[in-house]
Amino acid sequence: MELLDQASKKVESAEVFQKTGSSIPVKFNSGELESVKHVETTGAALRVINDGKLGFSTTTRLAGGSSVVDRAAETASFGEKAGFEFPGPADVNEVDTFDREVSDLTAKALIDYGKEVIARLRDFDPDLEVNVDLIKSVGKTRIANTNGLDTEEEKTKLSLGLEIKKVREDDIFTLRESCVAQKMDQFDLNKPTEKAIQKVKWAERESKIQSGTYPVILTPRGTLVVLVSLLSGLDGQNVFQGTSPLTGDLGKNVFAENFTLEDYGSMEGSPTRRSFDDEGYPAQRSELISDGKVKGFLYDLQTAGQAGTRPTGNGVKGGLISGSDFRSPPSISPTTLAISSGSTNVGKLISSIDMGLLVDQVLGLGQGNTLSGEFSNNVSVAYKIEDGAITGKVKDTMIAGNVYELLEGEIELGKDAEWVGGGLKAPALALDSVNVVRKS
Amino acid sequence: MLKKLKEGLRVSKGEFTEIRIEKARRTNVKYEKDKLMNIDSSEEIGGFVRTLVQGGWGIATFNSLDEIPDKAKKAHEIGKEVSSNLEESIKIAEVPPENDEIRSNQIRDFRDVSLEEKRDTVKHYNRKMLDYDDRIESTRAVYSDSFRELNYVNSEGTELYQEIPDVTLALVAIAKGDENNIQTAHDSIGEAAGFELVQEKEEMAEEVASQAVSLLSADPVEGGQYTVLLNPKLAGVFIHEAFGHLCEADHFYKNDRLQEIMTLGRKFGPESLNVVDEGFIKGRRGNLPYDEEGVPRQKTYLIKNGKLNSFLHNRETAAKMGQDPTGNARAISYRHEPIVRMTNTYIEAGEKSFEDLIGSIDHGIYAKDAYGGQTQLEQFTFSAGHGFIIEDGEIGPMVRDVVLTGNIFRSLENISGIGNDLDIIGSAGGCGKGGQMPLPVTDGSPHLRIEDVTIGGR
Repeated sequence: MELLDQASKKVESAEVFQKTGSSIPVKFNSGELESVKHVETTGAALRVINDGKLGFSTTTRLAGGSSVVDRAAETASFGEKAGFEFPGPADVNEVDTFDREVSDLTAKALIDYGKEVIARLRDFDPDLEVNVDLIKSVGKTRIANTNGLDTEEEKTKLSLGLEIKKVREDDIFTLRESCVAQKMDQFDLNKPTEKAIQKVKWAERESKIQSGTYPVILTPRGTLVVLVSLLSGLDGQNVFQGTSPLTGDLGKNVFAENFTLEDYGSMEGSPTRRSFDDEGYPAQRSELISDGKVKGFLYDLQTAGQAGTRPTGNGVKGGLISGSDFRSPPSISPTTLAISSGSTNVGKLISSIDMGLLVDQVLGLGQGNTLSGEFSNNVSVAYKIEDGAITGKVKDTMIAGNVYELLEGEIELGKDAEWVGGGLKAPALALDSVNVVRKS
Repeated sequence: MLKKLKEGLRVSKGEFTEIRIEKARRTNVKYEKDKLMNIDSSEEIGGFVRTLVQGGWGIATFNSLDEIPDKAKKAHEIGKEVSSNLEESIKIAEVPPENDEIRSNQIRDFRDVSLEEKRDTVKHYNRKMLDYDDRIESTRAVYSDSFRELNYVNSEGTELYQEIPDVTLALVAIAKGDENNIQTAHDSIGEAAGFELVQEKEEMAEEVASQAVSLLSADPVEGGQYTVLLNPKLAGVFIHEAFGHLCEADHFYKNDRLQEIMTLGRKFGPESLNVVDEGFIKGRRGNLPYDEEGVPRQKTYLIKNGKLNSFLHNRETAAKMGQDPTGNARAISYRHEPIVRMTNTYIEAGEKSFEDLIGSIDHGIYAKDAYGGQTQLEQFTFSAGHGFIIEDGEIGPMVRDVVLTGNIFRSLENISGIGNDLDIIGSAGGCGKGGQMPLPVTDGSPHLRIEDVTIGGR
């Protein structure tokens, strides 16, 4: 690799992360095709260790050249002490992350998918305003370093995002659904479409709930309300710095005994499945919380080195959502997260509640003091449960609580886990008592 | 450069074609606690071509400038495919061709400041926060600068070159008390300026650290309905979320039902309320002398005397609705198409002094600074950095976890006082929409009093 060769002449050790890829995003606005785009990306990140210190630079010129090497070397002269060495070749459980069928999809095929979804939704209710985003992408990641690692993985991705609005005078109900797949057999247009229709049906009527403390069932998508905080608590960096409430809790029973959470990068069926992280470290299966006991935290190479522990294959460039963006340095992020499911189906969870809420989507996710576990959100897709049945949507309503307190108390988990957004597999999660405030 | 761009235009056969080339250089320095987490000096070059073929948009983006003619052809091919799937041809509003060069104007050009000085500056503020008090458990200090050179040409003869500097500093302090009492305070600045912006910010660092420590002894706010007084920073976020987004025409230009709600002249707030989106205010992050369709900046009154006065447009939404473009077509980078976005959005100053505003509040919350906000047309939310209880017109004890929520059709009506102290504040971060984040924008407002605001809490 040219850039690595250039760098190795100048610095002690180096790593090149190279990304080449193309994608076709297709956009529908208000049920009509708006644009189709052809996006090509080529870029490389150079990370160097010189005099034991870390430096970083990125470029869109794959051939490199002296400027990127010089810049990386310059940043290393002021850089932090490297707490690790670039990993050499290791035994990687190589998983299949490429699907020819997805890779071969044309713009026309994506347009047809979009039309199909819109037709189905308009057939249900011609008044629905439907925005659809379909994106097909194919990307190749190559990671090579001066310790002999040279590894490559090609990934496919097909995603469908729906934004649906139902407008009745000044009442605007907005909901989102999505489906993300790495392989064609994980892609199902009907699932998000039918789910959206169900949610619009439940929202036909408005129900009002009085301010108070109630049981709240989070749908699989709704579990993000608690996960956003919980993940900052499981981030090895926050644990190491002492700003995670879970610092010092390793091996302790902190959560309800039926709560189990793992990070599993190479998990079969995951739309974000991978063989190694963005530092070339093999993907792991890491127990984070097992039967309520704290079992582990997430680490990248640098934090693991500083904290004197083992990396967990969670060095990700640009976080879980933007995924392997060459411009960002690696930092700690989950790869594929899974909450273990329970034994009760959602219908039963609902029917056991006299008065409460079913929460699917909220506004302001993660905007607040996530470290301490506090959340306070305006619900955007949520329903009132009364005498064991859903009676209608609620609005002008906020839920608030502390994630650590709620997950320490009694919780129930749904039987059927679903993929949410990409790298999260979660069942419904019933919380015992959440504070609800409604505008009177 | 211009030659390459023009060659791209020449080979394109669409009825309208535009090409953007962006060159960016950026530096980032990030400290966390006592460690330098990242120091990064990078460059990027890329381009965007968009062409309208028989009323359908085709778009191609790329990193290699030698491919411009190929990409123009690719965009044409895609546009054709799109147009065959359209019921109605897309049209764009007429605008006169522009020819201009906008050079940046920095007092101390950050491109000439050494990496070492940037690192030392960030390290210094980080250290100031860490040393402030034993209870400061961790800190974060993040500096970023970027210098973007934007070239734009279109088939109507517009040729533009713009330099966009952007510099930000964000400081976070995390204090730890007993048990799980972990409190975070933050502040940030951001402007289209030079390195001078981030110099001599010791006071800001001390203020952030002190805030985090104070929050340790603050109680969580009690949920309920309150009369709230928002400081300019939070009121700016409020108007951005509560009304700015609603005025972006791409939300409703194809939807009759939403257009019925958004009729020009509809009363949204009190007579004294004026809301503006202004494309250029010296030094502001939201600035864009010419938008990403080559349309010059403008000052647009979204609300005038309490009534809906104008929307924000790109050329396509303007044509569809039979209105004039407003220079609000923006893209976060060459990888994205321009969509309708805000620039510098603010509430104009009113007449009330701070004492007038707070004096008449028997029981309420003074909410300050902002974590952020989000809107979904009707409903919106925004969260304060911290707040104070107001009792009988006096500021009382500090409270934390203040998240406010509102309904677009009622919250503006409930504005009961507009201060005389307009402040337009640039911060780090930015606005997100349609997968494009973060876009530099600024928000502003005077102090603002609103009745009956719902605050979540335990």
